[in-house]
Amino acid sequence: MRHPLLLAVVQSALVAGILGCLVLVVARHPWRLDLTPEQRYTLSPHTHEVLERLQEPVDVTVFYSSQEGELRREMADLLARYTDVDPDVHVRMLDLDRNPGAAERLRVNNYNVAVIENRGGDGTRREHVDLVNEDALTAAFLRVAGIPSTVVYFVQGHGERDPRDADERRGAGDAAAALVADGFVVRTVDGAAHIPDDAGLVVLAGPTRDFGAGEVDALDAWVRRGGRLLVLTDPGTPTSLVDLLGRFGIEPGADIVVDEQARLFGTDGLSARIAQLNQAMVPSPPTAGALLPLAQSLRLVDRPGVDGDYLAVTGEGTWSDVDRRALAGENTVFRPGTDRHGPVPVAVLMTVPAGDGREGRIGVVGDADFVSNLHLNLVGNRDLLVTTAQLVARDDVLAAPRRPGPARGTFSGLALTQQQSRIVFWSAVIAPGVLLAATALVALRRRRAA
Amino acid sequence: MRKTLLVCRRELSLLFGGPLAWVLCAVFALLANYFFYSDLTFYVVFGGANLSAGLWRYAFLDWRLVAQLVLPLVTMRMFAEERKLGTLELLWTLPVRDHELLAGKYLAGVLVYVVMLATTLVGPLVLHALHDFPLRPLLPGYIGLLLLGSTFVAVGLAASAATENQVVSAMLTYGVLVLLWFVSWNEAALSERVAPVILALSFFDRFYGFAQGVIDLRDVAAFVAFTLLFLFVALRTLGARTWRGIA
Repeated sequence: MRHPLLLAVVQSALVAGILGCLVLVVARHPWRLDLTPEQRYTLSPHTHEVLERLQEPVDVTVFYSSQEGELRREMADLLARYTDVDPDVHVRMLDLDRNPGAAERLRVNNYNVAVIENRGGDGTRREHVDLVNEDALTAAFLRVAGIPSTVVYFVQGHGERDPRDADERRGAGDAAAALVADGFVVRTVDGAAHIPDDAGLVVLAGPTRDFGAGEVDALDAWVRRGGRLLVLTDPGTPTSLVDLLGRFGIEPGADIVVDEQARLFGTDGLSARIAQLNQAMVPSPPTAGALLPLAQSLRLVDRPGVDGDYLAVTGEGTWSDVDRRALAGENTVFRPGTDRHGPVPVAVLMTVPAGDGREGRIGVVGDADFVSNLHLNLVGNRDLLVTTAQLVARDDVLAAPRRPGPARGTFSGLALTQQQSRIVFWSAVIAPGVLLAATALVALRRRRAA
Repeated sequence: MRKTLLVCRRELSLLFGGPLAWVLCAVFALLANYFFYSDLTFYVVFGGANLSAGLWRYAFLDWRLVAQLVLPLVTMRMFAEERKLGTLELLWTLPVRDHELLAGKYLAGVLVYVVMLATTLVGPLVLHALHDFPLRPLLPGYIGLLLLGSTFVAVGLAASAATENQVVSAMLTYGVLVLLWFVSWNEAALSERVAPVILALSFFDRFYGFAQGVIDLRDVAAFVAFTLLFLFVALRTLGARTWRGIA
């Protein structure tokens, strides 16, 4: 070879090409190991379930700002996980400033907006996602997949939890967000006397005051016409609501479910862990059971024309404190013959034929606190809410676990005292450096001596 | 293999027999652990409840920076000094092949880096003694740092093999590393078609997943490929003596 330098360059280019091909081969067989405790960088089973339901290719176009590299990287990384699961998800990352034409066509004016498009046989379905995270993206995928949105009305006016309220203890804003992420549209309605025509589901989230007679009759009639009603009711259910539930064969126990094992979660033993969901209703139930902060039992009684079953029960070790002594601060010891052994039913689902092939449904959970902002993201609470809402409102249930939101309540980060901070500084920053520097000095002296 | 280990041992005794490796390790430990301490302070005040995203990610990204700063100084002398002192020609007279020589020096460079990395374990371990937390998310970060540093060592060896001037060797290494780090920074200057290719070459983007606590086989493959490529370049550069009639 007369030009050895040229030969070396050619050889290096060849090696680079071969290595590049190997990297591409690996890229076609993605494998990730997420070692973060909460699997923060792995798609939830719910997202997998939604992606499995996609029939047609989906295009995702993200408009980013070139000045926000870290955000672009995080969005690209998240969307790459969708592509890894479903190669029919096609992702384009566009700089908004440099692609005004595409932004105009897709009607995007802001940075960090994703547009999800499904070009199905029945035309293009398009959704905009303003906050690019897994919840919002998966909800948009669900909508473009052709699964119609269900409008949920939270009835207000009887002390119910408010889906617009962000207050940690009272509010149910996180519950509303969880439902929206599952393809529901959340609204509120004052009173239950007139149920809006577009209501796909009506939620009574922990009423504390009585309903008017007209409201009870309106809800009764609505369910019997094929309406869907979800009732979350704490111990001490208002009499009018007990009356309404009784019409559908459901009797709130007016007791307290005691779960000694739930003390493991740092509670006072009055929080009940759901041990089992009815597998005839939920074939692949979430692995983490919900934790109901203060639950009452529910009982089914025969009513003509009403059919149903228990949806959720607590564990064997739980029991029903029939006269709610625990709330009075008394010693909560099981009394044979008086209290009732577990498993205790805490959720039920009833159906009523409504003619024209339609069916009214009423789901009841014997606790409403679990949908508060404080409790929604504890263990399986979010899954219980969304799965129950789907069972009541829809025929096609997506029951795989969702990604839990950030936990509220007690801050669980590191809190170092000044002394601990000093220990870290001296032992981690100063000690290794000084030790190595001293060794360097010794090595220098030895070399000089030699 | 035996010859490779002999070369490695010789290289390590040269490095640790004098003050250079110790000084570099001390500087690495001081800088890396100071970054850890300031990241920890920031996390305690502002970071929230997620250790992986609020502390470890920033710590590993900072440690990567320190590795980028210090490793070229470890590798700059490996061939350049030998060439300048004439000991490289002496080595070529011994029954050691180029690839054995290169592998020995590469192994030595990586081992020095492992010693440096070991000094960063002190902070997390002390913190773990004070506050219990899961250690598993640290594993991808350290694997990523090891892969990244091994690539840095390979780049440094290629540069060192190309010159007899240590400063030139270090600057060449810095040039390549900073280019491969900064390559994706000015995304506005990249066209939509070129950007994915450039981003795939960016060490910064490749390391990001490891810093977050995720091992992605694609990133592992990319770092291994980069390392092999630069080792090949180093090997060919060493082989250039035959063109010049040196051996």
